[in-house]
Amino acid sequence: MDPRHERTNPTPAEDPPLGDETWTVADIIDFEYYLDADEGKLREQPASRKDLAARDRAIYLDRIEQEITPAQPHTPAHRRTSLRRWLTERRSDEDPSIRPLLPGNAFAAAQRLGTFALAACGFLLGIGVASALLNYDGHRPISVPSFVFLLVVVQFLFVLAAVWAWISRAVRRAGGGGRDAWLLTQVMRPLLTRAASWLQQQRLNQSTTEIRERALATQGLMKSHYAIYGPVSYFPLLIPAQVFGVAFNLGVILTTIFLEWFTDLAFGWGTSLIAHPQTIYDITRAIALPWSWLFGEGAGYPTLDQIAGSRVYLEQWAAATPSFQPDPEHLRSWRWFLVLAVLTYGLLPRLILLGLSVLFQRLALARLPFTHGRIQALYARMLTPILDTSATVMEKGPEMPIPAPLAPRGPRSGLVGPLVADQPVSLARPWREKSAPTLRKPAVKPVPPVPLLRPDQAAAAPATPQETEVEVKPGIEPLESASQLVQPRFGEAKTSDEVETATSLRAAPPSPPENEQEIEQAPESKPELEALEPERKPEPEPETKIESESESESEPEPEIEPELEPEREPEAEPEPEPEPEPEPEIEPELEPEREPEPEPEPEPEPELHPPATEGATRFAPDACLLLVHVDVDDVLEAEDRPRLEQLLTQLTGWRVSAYATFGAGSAMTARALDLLEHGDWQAPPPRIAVVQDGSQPPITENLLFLRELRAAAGTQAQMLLALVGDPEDDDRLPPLRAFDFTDWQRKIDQMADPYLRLEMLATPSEDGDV
Amino acid sequence: MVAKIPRLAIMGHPNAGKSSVVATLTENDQVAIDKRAGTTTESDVYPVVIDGRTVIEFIDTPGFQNPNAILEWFQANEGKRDLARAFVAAHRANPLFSHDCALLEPVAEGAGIILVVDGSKRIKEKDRVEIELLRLTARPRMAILNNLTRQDRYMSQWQDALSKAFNSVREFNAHRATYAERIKLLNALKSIDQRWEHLVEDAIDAFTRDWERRTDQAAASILDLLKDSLSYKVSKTVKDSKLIFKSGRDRVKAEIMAEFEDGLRRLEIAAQEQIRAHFRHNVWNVSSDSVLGRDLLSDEVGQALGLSRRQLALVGMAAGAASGVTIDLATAGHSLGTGALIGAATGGVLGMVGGKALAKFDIERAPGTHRFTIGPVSNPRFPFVLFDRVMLYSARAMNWAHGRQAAEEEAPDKVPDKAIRRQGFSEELSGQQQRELARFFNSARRGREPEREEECRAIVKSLLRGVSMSEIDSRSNL
Repeated sequence: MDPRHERTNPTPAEDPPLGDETWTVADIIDFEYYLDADEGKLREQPASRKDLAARDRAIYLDRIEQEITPAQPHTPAHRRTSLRRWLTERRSDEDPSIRPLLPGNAFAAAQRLGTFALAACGFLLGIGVASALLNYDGHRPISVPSFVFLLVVVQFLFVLAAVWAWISRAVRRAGGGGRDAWLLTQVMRPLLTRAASWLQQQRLNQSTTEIRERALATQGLMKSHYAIYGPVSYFPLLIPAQVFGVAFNLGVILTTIFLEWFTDLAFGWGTSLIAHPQTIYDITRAIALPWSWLFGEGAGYPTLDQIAGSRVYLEQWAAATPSFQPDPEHLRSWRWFLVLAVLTYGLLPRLILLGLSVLFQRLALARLPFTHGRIQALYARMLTPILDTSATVMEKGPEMPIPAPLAPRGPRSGLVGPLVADQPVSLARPWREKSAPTLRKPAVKPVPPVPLLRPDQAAAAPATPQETEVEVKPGIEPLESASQLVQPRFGEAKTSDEVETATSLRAAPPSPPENEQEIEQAPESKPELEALEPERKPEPEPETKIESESESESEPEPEIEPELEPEREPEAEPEPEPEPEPEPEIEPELEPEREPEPEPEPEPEPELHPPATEGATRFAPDACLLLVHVDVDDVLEAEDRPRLEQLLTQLTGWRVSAYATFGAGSAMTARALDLLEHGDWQAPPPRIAVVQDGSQPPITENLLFLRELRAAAGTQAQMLLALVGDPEDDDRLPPLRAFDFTDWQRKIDQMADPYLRLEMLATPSEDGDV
Repeated sequence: MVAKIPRLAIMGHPNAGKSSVVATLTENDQVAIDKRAGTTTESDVYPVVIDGRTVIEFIDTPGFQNPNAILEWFQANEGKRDLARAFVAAHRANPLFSHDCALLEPVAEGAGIILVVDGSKRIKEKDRVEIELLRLTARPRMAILNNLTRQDRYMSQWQDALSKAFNSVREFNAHRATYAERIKLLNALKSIDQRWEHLVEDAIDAFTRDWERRTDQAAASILDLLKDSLSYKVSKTVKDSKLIFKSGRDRVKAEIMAEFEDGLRRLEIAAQEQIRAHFRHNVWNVSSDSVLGRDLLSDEVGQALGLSRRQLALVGMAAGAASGVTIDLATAGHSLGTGALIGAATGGVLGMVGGKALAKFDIERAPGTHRFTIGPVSNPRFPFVLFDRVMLYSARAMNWAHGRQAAEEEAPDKVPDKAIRRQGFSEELSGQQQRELARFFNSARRGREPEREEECRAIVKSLLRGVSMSEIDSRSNL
């Protein structure tokens, strides 16, 4: 029997565990069945793709990858092996009750059954034919030529035809392929298929409908995959045919031997042609050639005498039967010749063909490339890593923290940052120094008129400006002055004061004479400031003018300048100064912020108040403190400042008495707060306008700053938060987009500060579509 | 082992587009993205898991809430060894710093940093502050210039400012990033810490293969759609008694025609769903002003997509299409060239080929009944239109960044659409490829096992690949 089936018969679970990558036809059928099932599933519900990918990848990783390490992916060996293993896994995952129903098994069983049946038929047929031919009635010897012709010549011709068909088919296939026209295929395939389906049906009748449907759906698979598995497809038919032939020959041989052993047979030959026994002898010898070396003349084939003696003449029998007594030995001499002839020309070629079929089947199976579409998909699923980027559970964290109101007049809680009091900090912001010159130079240039004004202002307006400047400038001088104001209180700071003065002095040279004045003032500060105060008072008037005349910038009207200048000057001045030693200057400021919290604040007020009232900025009843975020301030050009004030006036009716920046560190914040606290507010609740870049969403820092202002200014101080959009080339103070505004509004609302008003600095309609 | 996984904290201030970057990088459109600031309220971890093994973790952090304070604290405590950890330890209890702690926590635990900044805006104070404070953390770090607009005047400033403090600076539009750009960005991650190279490579490899697989799947879906719709038929049996009057016959014809067209549309939608799923889009859908938003069988679609008449005639002849079709085309070419009457009269797809109907009607008479059948599609142009449409859809799906859900399509400065090119994909194929397609269409139409399927698959795949590598214009304007 077919040795191949011996191995597939065992249930799939017993499949050779490792290292066995051989494919059988049954395997292929099952494999296709699974592929088909997967494909159908995908077609019905495309979403299952993920599941399939996960399943196949898991099979590959868990049970295949480690075991076939030598093979590189995408090599034929790797593909074969991993697909075979995949099949094994799929089968073993199958419900045991359906396992024998897998189409591959059904096919194998059918093939087995068919082969058995064919073998039995062949055997019986062989017995029948042989016993018919060897039927000896005692009168007429058995005809050797008819036996030889039927069982040897005809059979051998069949074999030759089969071989020829085989070879021609192979040649044709090699030469470009064509349809397989083999008779056996045509006849036997339907038979086998039918047998398979019949067998399946028999089993299915006993199983549940669900299983039945599933199994039935698999029928016909084999046919549809003929194209893919063409080379393999005819072996399942060829092999049973060979088995049939072998069984037939076995039947013939066994019958012949049996009859020869147990009955006395007489063989003879006759012919109507004129034939000399020598001719027959020659033919016989030629036929016996294959075995003559083993069984020589007399044993393997009859001698010339025996041949002559076994010749049968009809007239002999008719006329001279009683008298003629042929030598019985001569009549028996053919017996082994016949057996050996059938063995050699019937059985042996069949056995060889059977062996070749099995061999070629294995080769064909081994040569299957396993590259067609569906397999590609499967193979890709096995090899492609499963990529999962789904997030961990997303929980909602706390919303953006909204700072609670700070205690008014209480210690400033570290201003913006959690500053540790005692350590000196170097607040390096190199970009501030660098950006200042580039950004502000344009602003500075317009200033030149200032000198002219200075004399007047220096006395009058400048005083306030100075302070404002001082504060405004993140850079230096403002700081110094502020720090000076503050520092006197702290013993520690003095060294830094000196530094500052030093720096300010250094800074002085670049700046025009006015600066010198300022510089001088700065160190001396208090006396000068006091002196300046009276002069400042005039300012309010110029400011009002400024409001009206805001369009014309600084030069024509000195009055405008006071306000403008402060802004510019601060900018202008910082340039030189920052370079020397930005950090030292900043430090002093920081200190005030940290330490002041506990001690200074109580002190400063008493101490400062005298100077503050006199020397600090004085805020007229309709004037406010304008705090501008550095992001906005950085981009403002000289001509924008009047506009800024104009816009502010439109919103609030306030004029600007002091201008400061914020947003670049706690030092700057401290200055702004200082300005606020030490301002001389003529109509008590202070008025503060904060200009902020609204194109950036609000963050805690911004809100915290508002809280600090509130704490410093008192609960009823009027505060305006004016938002500016992202600056553009032609408009540095554009309106804010509505979306950004609502974003701010939401947060500001949460602060629940009734005296805080949120507005857009410029309304969209004003500037059109910008 | 756990410690060795590259963890990357995506940082930046609120609304810089951190979540969009994460969504696009991990192809996860379930990441919550909101135009409003502060949508991300704590650090969400987005691991990239390959076969159950995490290879990279992206951490979407909340925005900085107190950058100035953090910087000052860092500067004041510069002596400490691990500033981020020290800061978190010191401020964990302070609710005002809850977000800042949440975002510095991954850094404290050793995560690398990807700073996302909005490159369309000028550099602001807090950007500088953040750059500086991230520099002080001394972690491996990289910056992403997420520029969603065509405003590029600040880009060089940003480059300058960032490159001083970051190991690597890359431009990346989280709303327009294609597959190729994502892979490039991932590749850049290798450069910020060499120890990660191996795992990052694994991740890139997985992404690449995953993408290939999806391309294959999309190609399969496309071919299936073509096969299904070209062999699609509708038939209906009607009793003779209902067909006594001509009006009854016309009504039946109209009904069955409508059913046929709907069937084609359904097939297309089903294929689109599949393609969408391949590319992991859950929320995306085409905008309504696209050709894709129009009806499959409408005029506009017919004009925008498919082959030109000349190409079609050439292809038809060369591919040995049904001779009738070829002749129709040849004559239609002439008649339209002179008068253009028929086309105008019938309109749409039908008009484009000179009155050739979408599909043929067939009426079989049986005793007592009529059997109306329509289909399969016989119009030679339709397959190309369908092909272009599904290719267009795929191209859109492939190149639609997952972080784009919150895109402000009306934003004035968004990256502009390219110059409009009224041309589908098929028109730019070579004549050889067009013929392959035509052969495939013809065989599919006759319901046979389609010829040239593999060649067509190759064509589709190469188109899709070209689109994803930005070698082929994805016709985002169509």
